[in-house]
Amino acid sequence: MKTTLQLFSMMIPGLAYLLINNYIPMAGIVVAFKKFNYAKGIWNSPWCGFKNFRFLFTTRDAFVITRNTLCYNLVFIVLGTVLAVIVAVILNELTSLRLKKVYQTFILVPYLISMVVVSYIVYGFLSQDNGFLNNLLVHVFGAKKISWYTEPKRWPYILTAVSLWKNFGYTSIIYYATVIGIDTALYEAASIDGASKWKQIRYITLPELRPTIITLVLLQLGRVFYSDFGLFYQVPLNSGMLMDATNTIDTYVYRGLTQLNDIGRASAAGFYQAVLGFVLILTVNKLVRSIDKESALF
Amino acid sequence: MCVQEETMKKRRGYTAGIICACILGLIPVSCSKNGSASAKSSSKAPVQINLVLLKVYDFSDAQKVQDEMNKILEKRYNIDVKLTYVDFGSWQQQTNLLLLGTDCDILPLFGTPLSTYVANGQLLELDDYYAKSDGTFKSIWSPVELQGTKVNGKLYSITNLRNFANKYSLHMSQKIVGELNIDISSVKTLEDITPVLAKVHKAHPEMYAMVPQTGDTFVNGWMWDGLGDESWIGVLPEKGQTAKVQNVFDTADFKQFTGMTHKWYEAGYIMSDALSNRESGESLVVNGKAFSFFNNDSNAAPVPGTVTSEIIAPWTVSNSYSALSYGISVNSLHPDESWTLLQALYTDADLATLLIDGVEGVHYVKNGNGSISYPAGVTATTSTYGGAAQYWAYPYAALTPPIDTLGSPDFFKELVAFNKSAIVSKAAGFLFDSTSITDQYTACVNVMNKYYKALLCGSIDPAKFIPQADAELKSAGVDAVIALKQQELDKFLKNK
Repeated sequence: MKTTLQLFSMMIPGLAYLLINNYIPMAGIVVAFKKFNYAKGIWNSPWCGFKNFRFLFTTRDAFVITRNTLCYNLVFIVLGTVLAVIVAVILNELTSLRLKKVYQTFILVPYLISMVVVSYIVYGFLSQDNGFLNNLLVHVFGAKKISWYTEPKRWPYILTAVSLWKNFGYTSIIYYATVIGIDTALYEAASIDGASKWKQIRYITLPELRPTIITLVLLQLGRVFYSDFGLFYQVPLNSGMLMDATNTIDTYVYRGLTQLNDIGRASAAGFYQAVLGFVLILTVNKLVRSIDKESALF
Repeated sequence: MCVQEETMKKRRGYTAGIICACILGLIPVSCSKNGSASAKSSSKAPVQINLVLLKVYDFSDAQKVQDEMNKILEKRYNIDVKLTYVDFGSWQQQTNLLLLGTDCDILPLFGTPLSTYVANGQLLELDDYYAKSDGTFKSIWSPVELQGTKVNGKLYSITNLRNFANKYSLHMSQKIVGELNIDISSVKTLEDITPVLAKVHKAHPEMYAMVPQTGDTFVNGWMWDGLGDESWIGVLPEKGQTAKVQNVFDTADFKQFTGMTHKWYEAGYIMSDALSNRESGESLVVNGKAFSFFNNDSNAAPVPGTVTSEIIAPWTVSNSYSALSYGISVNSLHPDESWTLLQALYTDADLATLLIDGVEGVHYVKNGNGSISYPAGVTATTSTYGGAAQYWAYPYAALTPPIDTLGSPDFFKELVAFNKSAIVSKAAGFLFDSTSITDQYTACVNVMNKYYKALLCGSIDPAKFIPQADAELKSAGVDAVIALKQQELDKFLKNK
């Protein structure tokens, strides 16, 4: 008990942080069920049942925003994981230590850039008059200019590319950390037995990575009803014509409610996203546990 | 990551709210005790009032101005003021947070419809204070102007001095007008603009013949009155001279305007990146990148290097008076003193001049003719107290000498006359309250966001997209919104 007491005391700051920042504010959930009045405050505002939630379901946009949020996130998770694992494995195969450091830094840079800056980089490519792509189309291919910011059909690809470019560096570093932790004796034994590089990756690296992949994917699934606000709002430059392809739950709530200062409805949307994410993570974790008990989160 | 921050902010907001709610429960009790005890003694310490202000220029010297103001305020009103300038860009988020706490007593209501502040219970009722106020203060605004900041018959704020009316003009580059011998007196209607743009486009194909007024907003209003609705869901066309609420896309005014801009866009006159533009028309024209843009104007002199031609004569939209007005937060700890200060800002010339123009000799110098200038080498953008150039954001600039860049030493007198001369929308003072149909309204806002700006700047074909937008609006429930607006308006006009 004495030794564990010491260890437990180390948890106190973290627990305090969690309590203050993540648990106490949860009481604010009541706002989602109230017609919030600034004069009366949180506790005295009148209750209004599920009225605040109605706008998320009854309008024609409800389907579009839910579909966009879910599908984009699923695509980002699948492609992002595949790309990050590939990069992590490739990083591990590099023998030059200096090159390794250089590549690690380079792939991490996009992750550190603010979305507002990213939106201008994208604009540099897509601007109708001076954009890189339109200049390429006109001067190299002799094609016509494309009005990127008014035609939604290409944006699913653009947003996916931007999201992958921005985030793959960070996740691949996490995977890479797992990869370098794999016991080198396994590889030595394999190469003595005559296994090729490909076989080593296929039968040692990937199976060793599986628990990490499952954990990260589970964590990402918990946020599948949230969207990266910067990506969907800043990168398309808030262009109205693109909304069918760029509107997500977060941007819809932001656009519709900033003018109304409606805290109740905004909280309702946040609550809805959190509950769905929670249910999803529980279900998937249960699924994982029934297949492979070791890999489940809890 | 960003979403996490967003929710973090929300959460922090809640915590702040909870803490504030706790504090609020305790303070009024202790305060009222103090108040009654010390009211008799004349030497009580000055009460500090937080005055929140909007800024579009630099105000790094605000502390200096605050100190000077407090010298006057302590002597005359036994009040201390604390100035908090909030940036235009983060206005809504910041003021919403400020209104939750007690760090904000007086603030300009701007960017959010006044009716929304009232519906959220964020403002103090001012009727009793107004009734008790003195004659000088009461003589400032006419009954119509006062009506403009009432919600359901109750006064919640006091409007400020700026151009209530707008005229809409074409601003053109003086250099190009001279170079191509353009007769600007012949430019009076939208049709007259076409040959001018054609001429400029031919002579200067490298230049945008026309750009948006600012960012992706092609022009800030035109002939339709949104009835206090920034999203233009249901408007009165014809400068608000009818009383029938219509879908803006179906009005003749809107069809004529967008038909014209689309023609210009197709001909290559309008900046093709208009919807992703981030610059103001003014800077594009002054820097020689563009020839012209539409602007909603007051009587102020045009920016040097540009000439203007009026297309739409001045008129006042219904919510003009409440578009920027000064109110008192419901959470204010000192509502009485806040009112005293607010009244002083409208009536005390020394105070108003300090607040708006800064300190004499430091931020401005007096000219002989009654106007002021920046000290040598200083402009609106380099001044360390940029109030004079944003006179329209303050309570009552008519008490102060105008800055010379506005064009006339009698600028504020002329401004008052300009407002009086304009046509006023029939619905003046009407404020739409959408709270009972927020679900349909929110859905309509999203449809309007999609089409309104794109149609206005001509980048999409109105013949094809207006029917499409109408269909989406219909399924979003626009009929219910318009019907409610009409019903509220009829009631308002009957009671007027």
